[in-house]
Amino acid sequence: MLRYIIRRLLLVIPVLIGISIFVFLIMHLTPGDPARLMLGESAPTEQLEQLREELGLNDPLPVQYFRWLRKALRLDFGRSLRSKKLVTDEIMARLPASAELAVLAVAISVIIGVPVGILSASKPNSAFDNVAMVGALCGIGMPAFWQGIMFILIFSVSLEWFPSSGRMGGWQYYVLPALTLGTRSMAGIARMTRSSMLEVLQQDFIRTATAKGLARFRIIFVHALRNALIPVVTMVGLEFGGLMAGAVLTETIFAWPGIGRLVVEAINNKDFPLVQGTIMTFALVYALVNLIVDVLYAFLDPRLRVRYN
Amino acid sequence: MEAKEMTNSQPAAKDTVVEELTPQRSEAKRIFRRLLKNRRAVVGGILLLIIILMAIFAPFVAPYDPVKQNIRNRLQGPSREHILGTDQFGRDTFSRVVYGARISLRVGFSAILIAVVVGCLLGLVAGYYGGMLDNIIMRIMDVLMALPGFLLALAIVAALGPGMQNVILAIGISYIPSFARLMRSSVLTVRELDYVSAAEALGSSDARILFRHILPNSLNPIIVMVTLSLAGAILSAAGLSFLGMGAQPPTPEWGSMISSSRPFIRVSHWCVTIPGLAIFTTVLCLNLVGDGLRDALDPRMKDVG
Repeated sequence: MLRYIIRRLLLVIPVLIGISIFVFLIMHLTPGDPARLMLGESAPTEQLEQLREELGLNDPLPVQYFRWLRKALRLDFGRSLRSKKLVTDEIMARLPASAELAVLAVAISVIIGVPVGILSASKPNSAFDNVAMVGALCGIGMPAFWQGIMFILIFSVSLEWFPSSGRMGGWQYYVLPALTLGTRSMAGIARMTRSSMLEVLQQDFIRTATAKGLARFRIIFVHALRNALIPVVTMVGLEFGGLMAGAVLTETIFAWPGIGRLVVEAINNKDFPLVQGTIMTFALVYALVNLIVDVLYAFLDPRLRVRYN
Repeated sequence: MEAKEMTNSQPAAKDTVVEELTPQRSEAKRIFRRLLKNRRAVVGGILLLIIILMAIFAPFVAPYDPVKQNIRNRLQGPSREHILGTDQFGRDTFSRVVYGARISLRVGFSAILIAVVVGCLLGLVAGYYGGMLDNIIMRIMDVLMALPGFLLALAIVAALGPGMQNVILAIGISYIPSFARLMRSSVLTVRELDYVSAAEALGSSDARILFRHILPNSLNPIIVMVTLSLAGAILSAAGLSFLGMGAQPPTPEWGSMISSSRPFIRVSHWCVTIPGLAIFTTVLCLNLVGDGLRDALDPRMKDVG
């Protein structure tokens, strides 16, 4: 098990190096001179030259990259061009809000998605199954930003049940953003649970259990579910990626002070150090979540554990 | 319960036998017939066709110029003149949504075209030659997959600057890894088959083997993926435009229509609701057709995949 975890950890390193090169290049791929972009069109030449020297923009790209990487490894992405605060501080200030929203959204999607998937699979092609699966497809096709606006229109403007933006002030503020963010993963998880259950229900040990005369309820919840949930765990990990993307849109709609909104602000302000820092944070969190999911997967599936021991 | 499932699957099994016994009918026809039996896919397909026709014949379908302003008529609800109301500049929402179909479909198709061509080529090469080349290509794909697709596209647009061309490129790139991986894994399966060894023994060139023998036989999963990715690409493009990084006003793009009319939602919600419904319908139809195609191309996957 430990060997598997170490192996899996080692695999993350080259990917992170690759993504760091990409993130570093974001600023240099932008057409035009980064120094001019930062100071604006009308900046005097001396000032430009001074900034270039300061940022080391006159050095060859690889030299610049390694200098940037050395700092990035210490989680130092420089200062935001806008607020002049440290990028790391800006991100740390925003991370809790995003984490709260993500955890809530995952919880909602699992708590609703898994039971719906089980019920659908236990009676395939029934009315419930059809409604649930068309509903799930709708959830996948719904643009998160539009769904958020519609929620605001219905539940904030018309019904006045929940506030439309902000975070401070109680649980009511969490309802609409968490539901908006969770819808897509809920749909994905329901579909995955259903198909995974159907696959398991066709296997021999289920037939054996049925032949033994066990109750259908017991077969589904004790025998099938434990096996069916293994791919669902991976799905939760995959959905987390979609959740991070959804957070960018959801946080923008609900004026939620998380890093999804931070990255949009940074891009719109051409605040490159902040863009680099936030994108790198997203990549790190994504890698970490996938790592946890893979380890969990090995933990849940004894067949995998045996292969690595 | 078990008995019910049996009755459900029996006609399907019988059909497969009948289909296999009538070899004169081509594979494509058989798949199409199977697709036609899937009610959801048929509904999705018909709606999709209507959307595509609407996009092609936009100038004939739309009653008004999509960018012409008429301030005196702003933010109206549906009426006889404007069946879906008007936006904050008095532009006809229906006309703008019709023209928007052109943009969304073009962006989706262009982005996925980039992804399919580049991704499949990389996957073919990686899978067929293996070794170093395979390693290099697949590690680069791993890096591209280190960020969720939408965020990767966002980062690329952040680097290249806003605009529809950049959005197409960014979304295209973000879908390359999935196609490369899919293609590579099908190549690995197909290349072990006898007819490939036979072609190799006959001295066929690599290009001939790759494009005449391996590619056509790994096409099915690619077709399904194209349909489903199109849905994702359209959704991402609308999202990027909504954030102000894609189409710029006054272009009648669905995502940017929603974002620019959003401040007026308390006065009239039509100019926000309708473009969203358009995105939703298009994406849903593509997903329905994609799911249907997957079941039709591989009946064994039915109810499982």
